[in-house]
Amino acid sequence: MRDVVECGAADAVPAVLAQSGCKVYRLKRTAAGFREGDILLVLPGAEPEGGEIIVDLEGRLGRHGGGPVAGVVVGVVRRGKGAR
Amino acid sequence: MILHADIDAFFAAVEQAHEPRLRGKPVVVGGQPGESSVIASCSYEARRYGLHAGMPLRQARRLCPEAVFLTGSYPEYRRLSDILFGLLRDLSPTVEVVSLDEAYVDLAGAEHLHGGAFRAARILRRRAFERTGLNVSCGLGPSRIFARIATACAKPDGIGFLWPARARALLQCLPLQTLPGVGRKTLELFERLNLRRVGDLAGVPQELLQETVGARGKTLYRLARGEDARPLQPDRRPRSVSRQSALMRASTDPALLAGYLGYLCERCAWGLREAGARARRLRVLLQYDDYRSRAGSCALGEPTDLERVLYERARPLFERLNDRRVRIRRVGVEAQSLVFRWAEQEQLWDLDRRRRSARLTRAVDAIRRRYGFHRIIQGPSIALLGKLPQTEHGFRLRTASLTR
Repeated sequence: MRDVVECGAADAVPAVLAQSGCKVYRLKRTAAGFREGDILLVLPGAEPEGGEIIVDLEGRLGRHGGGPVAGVVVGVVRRGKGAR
Repeated sequence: MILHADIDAFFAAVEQAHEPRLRGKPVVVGGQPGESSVIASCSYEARRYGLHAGMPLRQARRLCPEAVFLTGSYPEYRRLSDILFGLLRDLSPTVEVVSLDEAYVDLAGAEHLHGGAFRAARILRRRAFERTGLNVSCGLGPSRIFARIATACAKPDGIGFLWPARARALLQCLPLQTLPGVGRKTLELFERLNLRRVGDLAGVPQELLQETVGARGKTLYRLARGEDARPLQPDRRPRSVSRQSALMRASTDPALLAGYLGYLCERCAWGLREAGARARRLRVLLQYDDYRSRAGSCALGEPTDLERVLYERARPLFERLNDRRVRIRRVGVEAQSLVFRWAEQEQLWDLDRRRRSARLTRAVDAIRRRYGFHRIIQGPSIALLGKLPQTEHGFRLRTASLTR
């Protein structure tokens, strides 16, 4: 089962971020300290530090050392009632 | 950690919160579509049609005919804004207010009180929603610039969090307009130099950047590298106080124009007294019906916060500027070179008149605070009686939400 599902950048983040090449993922279920529905801002190609949360090429959430690295989570966005 | 709070689509959201039938509908605040004014704020439903702040109302009507157009109510926006800033000060004493709907909070030392920065933002959003019915988007980052980027990602109705150690890497990828102070002209200049991303700018030597854009180069150099150590300024004082308004209908009527000018001077002086400031310079601006503008300024001599003095200087300046036989559609005054501490200069002449004038102003202010601004109409503003609607907050100007 995939923990992370890619969503279109335009419907989740403003145009200014979409232009940055930053990838945007929406979590399908609660995992690794994040909640279901959280939007992860992932910088492609950034070097992750040991033990950091990473997103692999298949879009699975994991930890560094567990496979090829697609990027590193630089930020998280939580919206709606869950963020109150 | 710095928290940046910004109310989503502020003016439009207030109208939707107060009027349930407006919820879920495109709402535009700024005036009626027949007027030659612009959008002050619009709801997210309206933004789906391509509407945005600053767009002419006529164009907005064409793009979204079913939108509800409203004039807005500045006093109500001010009231709700004060509630939000009070909630921010409950989180931490270091709050820098940027505008009516935007502020920064330094959570350093206060995070543990709230169980972390993210939780502090959640508490703020919950309390703000309970007290005002408005959605506040929050951004958390290691400095102002990152907190602001996080808010931009979080809008609408969310919290954005950028990891301090990684935020700089994100900044390098963002387009240059993300940096404060990079507007359209600076962007064009950078594009000519093939600088498109913040990372490109970070590689330019500081001296070269200063030669290209002047004194701002130093600040841009630091910001591009993610070095934003500017401390928050809780008691940030205004640099100027301005009041301007479009006329209901463009006019050349000298009495009406004098009425507008007098009333705007009155509001400007009131704003100065509220801020505890006095002005040393006055700027007057006008815009003709063909959108050509004129502006000029003059020294006020002794610092002042009296409408009588402002008007005495504004009137001849306005007449000097108005040298075309074209109808005027907008008038404005701006009190500049503000001072917050002053020594009363002892005057040999006119001392009694000055003291009486100051006493009179205090008495008028007290009456207005207690019974409403509209209870007393002074001097040239009388020309507006019967021409503009009145509320307890004074005359309702064309763009009431912006002209205060």
